[in-house]
Amino acid sequence: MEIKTENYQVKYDKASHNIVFDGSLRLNGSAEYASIFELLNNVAQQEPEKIVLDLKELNFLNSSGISILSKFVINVRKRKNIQMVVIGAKKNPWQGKSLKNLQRLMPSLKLELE
Amino acid sequence: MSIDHKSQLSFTSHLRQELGMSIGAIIDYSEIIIEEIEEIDHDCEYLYELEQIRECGVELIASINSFLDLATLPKSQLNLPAIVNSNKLTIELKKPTQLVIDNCQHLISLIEEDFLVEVEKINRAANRLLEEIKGLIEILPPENNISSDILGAETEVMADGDLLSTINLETSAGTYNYTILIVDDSITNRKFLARQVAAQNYQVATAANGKQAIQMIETGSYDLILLDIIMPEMDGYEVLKWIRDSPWQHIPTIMISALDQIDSVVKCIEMGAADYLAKPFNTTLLKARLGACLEQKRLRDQESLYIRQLAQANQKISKLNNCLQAENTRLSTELEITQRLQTMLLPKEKELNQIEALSIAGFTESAAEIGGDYYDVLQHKGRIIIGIGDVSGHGLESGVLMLMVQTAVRTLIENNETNPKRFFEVLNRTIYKNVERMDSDKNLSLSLVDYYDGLLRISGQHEEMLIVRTGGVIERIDTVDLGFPIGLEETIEDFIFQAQIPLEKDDAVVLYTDGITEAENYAGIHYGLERLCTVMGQNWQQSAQEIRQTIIQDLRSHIGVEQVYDDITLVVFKRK
Repeated sequence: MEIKTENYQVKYDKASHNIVFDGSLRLNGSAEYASIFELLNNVAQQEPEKIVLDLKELNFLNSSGISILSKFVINVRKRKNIQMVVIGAKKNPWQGKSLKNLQRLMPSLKLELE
Repeated sequence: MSIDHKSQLSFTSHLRQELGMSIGAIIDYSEIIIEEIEEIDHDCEYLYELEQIRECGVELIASINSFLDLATLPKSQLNLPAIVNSNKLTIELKKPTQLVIDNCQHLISLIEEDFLVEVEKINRAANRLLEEIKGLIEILPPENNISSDILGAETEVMADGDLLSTINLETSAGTYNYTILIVDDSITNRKFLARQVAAQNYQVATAANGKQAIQMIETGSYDLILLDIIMPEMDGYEVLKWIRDSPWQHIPTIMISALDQIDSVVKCIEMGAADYLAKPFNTTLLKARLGACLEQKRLRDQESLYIRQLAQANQKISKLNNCLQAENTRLSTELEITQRLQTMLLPKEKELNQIEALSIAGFTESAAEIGGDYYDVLQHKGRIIIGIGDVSGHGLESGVLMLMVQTAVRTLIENNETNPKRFFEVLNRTIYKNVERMDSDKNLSLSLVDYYDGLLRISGQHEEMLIVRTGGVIERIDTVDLGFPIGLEETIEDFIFQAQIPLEKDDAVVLYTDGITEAENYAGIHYGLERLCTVMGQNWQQSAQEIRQTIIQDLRSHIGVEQVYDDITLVVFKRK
C-alpha cells in the first residue's frame, strides 16, 4: 500500500508491517488526512505483532497530522497485544515534542531517535 | 451545330414551360373534379372520361420530358430544329391533346353544373396546347437569330429551375410537420391547393375569406400562408397588412395572383410577402416555393430557438451566479463570524496598559483560513496569567474550540484554582467531552504562564518559552514535559507539571505559536526558533512593543510573498 504525492509519501510494507513516512505533510484538516488515516487504521486492524512507524525522513508534520498519528497510537494501544516502535530523527524539529506525546499516549511504545 | 448551344437551351426551356402550363392545367383541373366526385359518388358514370383526361395529361408530360429534357439529352444530340421538325413529337403531342378535347366535349353534356367551369378550363387548355403544337414550327427561331429578350427571360427560368430542384431534394429529405393555411375564396382553388399541399406531407387548413383567415391565424399555429389577393370584403392586401402588423408577422406569406396581376404581386412583395404564385397553378412551382419559404422559416425558427436557448442559458448562468454569490456571502460570513469570535475575546490594549508589573504586547494574525490560535492575559488577585495555545486544524470548529478554552481557563482562574494538575485536568476533561460531542478530532496545545512578584510559573505543553535576560542572553524553557495536548486523551493529570523561573527587571519573555517558527520562505525554509532567538537577543533593550514590532517585521521579510499557512501569534512581555 502506498500514498504518494509531490510533497510526501506514505509506504506500508505488508511483510514487515513497517510504515514509512517521507517528505513534508501539511494537509488541511482530518478530511485531507482521511486516506492516510485509513491506511494506518487498516494496519492496526490486522493486529500484527509489531508495527514500526518510521518517521526519520518526515521533515514536517502539521498539527492536524500529529492528531492523526496520536489517534493511530490510541487505536493501537486499545488492541493491547501490538508492539509499537516509532523511529524519529533529531534533525526534525517537530518530532521532539510530538513523538514524546505518542509515547505518553502508549507507554509501551518504543521510541528510537536517530 | 447550327444554333449555338446556349440559345438552344433557353429556347427549349421556354418551350417546356409554355407547353407545361397547358398540360399542367389539364392534369390539375381533371384531378380536382375526380377528387370531388370521388367524395360524393364513386360510381359516377363520367369518371372514366375524367381519368382518361388525366392520363392524357400524364402522357403529354412524359412526351415533353423525353423530347425536351435538357438533362438527359446529350449536348451533341440537342438539335432543336431537328427535334421540333420531326413528326414524331407533333404526333405524340397531338394525339392525347385531341383525346382530351374529345372527352371534354363529351363531359360538357354530361357533367353537373358545378364542374362545368373546370371542364371548360380543361378544354381551353387543351385547345391552347393544340395551337402551341401546331405553332411549334412557326415559333422556332430562325438560325442564329434568337431574340435577346427571350434569351434573358429564359435564362432566369432555368436558373430558377435549378434552384427549385435543390430545394425539393432538401424538403423531401427532411419532412417537417408544417401546417399551411390556404386562404382563397374559390372553393376550387382551395381544394386544389389543399390537395397539392397535402401531397407534400404538409398539414393543411383552409379559410374562405380574409376575416376567417385572421381568426384562424389568431387562434391556430401556421408555418406558411397561401393568400389570394382578390377576395370579396377583405382582400389579400388587407390580410397581408394585418399579418405584417401582427405578432404573426414572421409567418411567411405567399400571394396567389392571376398572371396579369404582376403589379399587385410587386405591391405585395413590397408589403412583406415572401413570394407569389401565379394562377393557373404550376404544381412544380408551388412545391418549390413552399419548400423554399418553409426552409427559410425553418432556419429563422431555428435561429430564434437558438436565441431563446441562449437567453435561457444566460438566465441559468445568472441564477447560478446568484447562488454562487450567496454561497460566497455565506462563506465570507462564516469567515467573518470566526474572525469576530477570535478577536472579540482578545485582551484589549487598554487592559494591557493597566497592568502595573508587566508591559505586555500581543499580536495575532489569521491565515487565509481561520485557525485556532489562542492567547489571553488575565488578572486575578494580583496574579497575571498569560495563556497561549494552538488548536489543531482550521475553520469555524477550531475557532469555537478556542473560545471554549478561553472561557474554561477564565472560569478556573475565577474559581481560584491554582493547582496546575487540577487546573489542566478539569480543563482537559471539559474540552475532551465537548470535542467528543462535536464529533471533532481537534485538540490543542496550551501553556499558562502565571507571573506574581518576580516569579514565573509555567505549566502545560506548547512551544518553548523564551526569556531574554539583560545583555541579550536567551533562556529557552521547553514545555514538552509540562503538559499534554488538551482534548486528545480523557485524562492528562499525570503529564502536568509546573516550572518556576524568576523574572528580573527588564527581562523579556516571548511566547509564540508555530505559525511563526514554521513560516516558510520561497525555498520552503522555516523561519525557525534560532532566528527568533537571534532577533530577540539583538533587541533585548527595546520595549515589549518594539520587540514585537521587530520580530514581526523580520518574520515578514522572511516570508516575502509566500503564502502564510498558519495563524501567527506572538506575545512579548517585560518586567517593569
